[in-house]
Amino acid sequence: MLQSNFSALIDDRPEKNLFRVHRRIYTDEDVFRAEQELIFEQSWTYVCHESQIPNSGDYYTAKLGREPVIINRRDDGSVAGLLNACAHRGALLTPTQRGNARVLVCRYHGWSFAGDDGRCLKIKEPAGEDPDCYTLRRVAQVESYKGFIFATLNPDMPPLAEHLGEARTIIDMLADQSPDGLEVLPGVSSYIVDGNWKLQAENGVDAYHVTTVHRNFANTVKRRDQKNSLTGMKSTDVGRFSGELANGTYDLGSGHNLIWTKRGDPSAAPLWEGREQVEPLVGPVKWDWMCARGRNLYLFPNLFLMDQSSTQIRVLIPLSASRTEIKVYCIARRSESRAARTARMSKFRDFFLGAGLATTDDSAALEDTQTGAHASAEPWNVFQRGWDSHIEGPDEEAKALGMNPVSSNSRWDPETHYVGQYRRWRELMGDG
Amino acid sequence: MGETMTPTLQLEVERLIYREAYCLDTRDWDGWLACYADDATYWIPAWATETELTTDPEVELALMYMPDKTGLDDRVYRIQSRDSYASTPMPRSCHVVSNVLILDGSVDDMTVATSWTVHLYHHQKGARMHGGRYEYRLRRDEGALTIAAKKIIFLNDKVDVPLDVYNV
Repeated sequence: MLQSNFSALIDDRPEKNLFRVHRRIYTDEDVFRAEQELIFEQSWTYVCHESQIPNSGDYYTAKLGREPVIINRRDDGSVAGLLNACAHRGALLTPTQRGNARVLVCRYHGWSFAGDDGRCLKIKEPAGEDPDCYTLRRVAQVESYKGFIFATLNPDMPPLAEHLGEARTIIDMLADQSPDGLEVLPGVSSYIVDGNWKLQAENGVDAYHVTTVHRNFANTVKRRDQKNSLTGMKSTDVGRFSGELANGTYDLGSGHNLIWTKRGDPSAAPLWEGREQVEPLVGPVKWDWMCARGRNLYLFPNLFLMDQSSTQIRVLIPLSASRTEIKVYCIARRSESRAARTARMSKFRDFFLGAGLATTDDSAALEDTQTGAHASAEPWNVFQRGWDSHIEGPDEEAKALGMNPVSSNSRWDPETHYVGQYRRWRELMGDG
Repeated sequence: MGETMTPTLQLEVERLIYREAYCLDTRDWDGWLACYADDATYWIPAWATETELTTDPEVELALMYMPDKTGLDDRVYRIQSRDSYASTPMPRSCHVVSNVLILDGSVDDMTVATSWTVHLYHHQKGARMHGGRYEYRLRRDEGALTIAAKKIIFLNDKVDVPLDVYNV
């Protein structure tokens, strides 16, 4: 397929409030290959959190599109990245997810490289090779925003702050929850969804499915809370699952978006114990957003930061048009009490895992959507809901935050925010 | 343990462990719950690295951790509701438990290690194989052995089917 044809897969007619995407964007391997090349190997993508590489020489491995990289902590404390491929014959320099190495030694022919700057330090039994010709290639740009590390292979991508834009206001609501910072807790869970990565990107900011797909979760947890008389942060605030509490949606630009809803009971949040410490630092408006609202933030293309019953980093790793790996981590306030952390972890397990009571149901729904996307006689998925409550630019709530979204919606279950997600997709896929 | 370890005890231990597997595979949920003490813990630690498991289920990631039996009851409620997208229709499963080794303790309170595999058939994806080890603490309550703790070492880690009590 020619690149110029990708834009035809998005039917975007704002004058008619019509927005549709062709189901081939979920199923076509040519589209997938172009996405790897034009989105994941070009755009800023999330890699890891700074707390996962605290010390000099600590590294974390990832893929930017198809390209394996090592993100590491340099001796001067900064974070940087190297291609995870030996400059000699290309073997991975480390096969592990994380580790510590001031010197990276290729396991194939034994060449060694400085982790700090990629210089070739030693060639085993040299036969005339010049080490200076074999410096490891750097990842073009690696930057951290408040602990969240992103990377891009494209040296010409505008700075990270510009890419994140208005979404920084929402990231801050998580990052600023503790004066001594946040940490990713030990343990990772990965699972695979037989569905396109964009279906996961849609679902994480789709509130419309909550009262059907998660009705079972809400019933299970409500029954448990009542049976065991759980209150405070031991309880799970399922009031927000009904959609009857104040809620809303923002298109934050650059493909990023947010859905939020008020919590029925802010004291159910593990952050509640930090109110006397944090609220004076951030002021009442931001505090209300931090503690009294649940927020699902999507950062295009591969990251969700969820702060609802618990706090989650969710990373999307596209494997093929029809298969996506999801990695999930729990992130928490460094200084929280053991009781708060135990509650946070408990609610994390309940919902977010491939063994949880809710995420498993999401995955099953996405897989059915993937299978259904092959029904080609009706080739369009329609994003139609919520135009009547759609506002161009900021609503009053956004203005109070000093945030300037592309658009706002006074409901959390519209489909208007997907427009920005797919316009960004179309822009990167080559329609200029 | 050497003195109290008898073929009779070994048989008694195996019967309990096999009964649990049988109840899971035949969806006899009441029978499954009856294998557990009220204060039983159930824990599937997450992997911290390629070779190390997390060690504290309360403050580190676990794939599942139920600090008492009510968590198992939640799972049964969810499955029986027939309202869970991922659990309807139920995948088929078959547990094979082997290498039952009483490690330590007394005839009334002991630790037991076993190996396990689950052959799973998911209706849309086909067959899958899960495997690992179980580490049990068994306790004698009113004469009968019950499960006081179960820790599941789950080797597969990254899977493409929903994980639930019936397929680990």
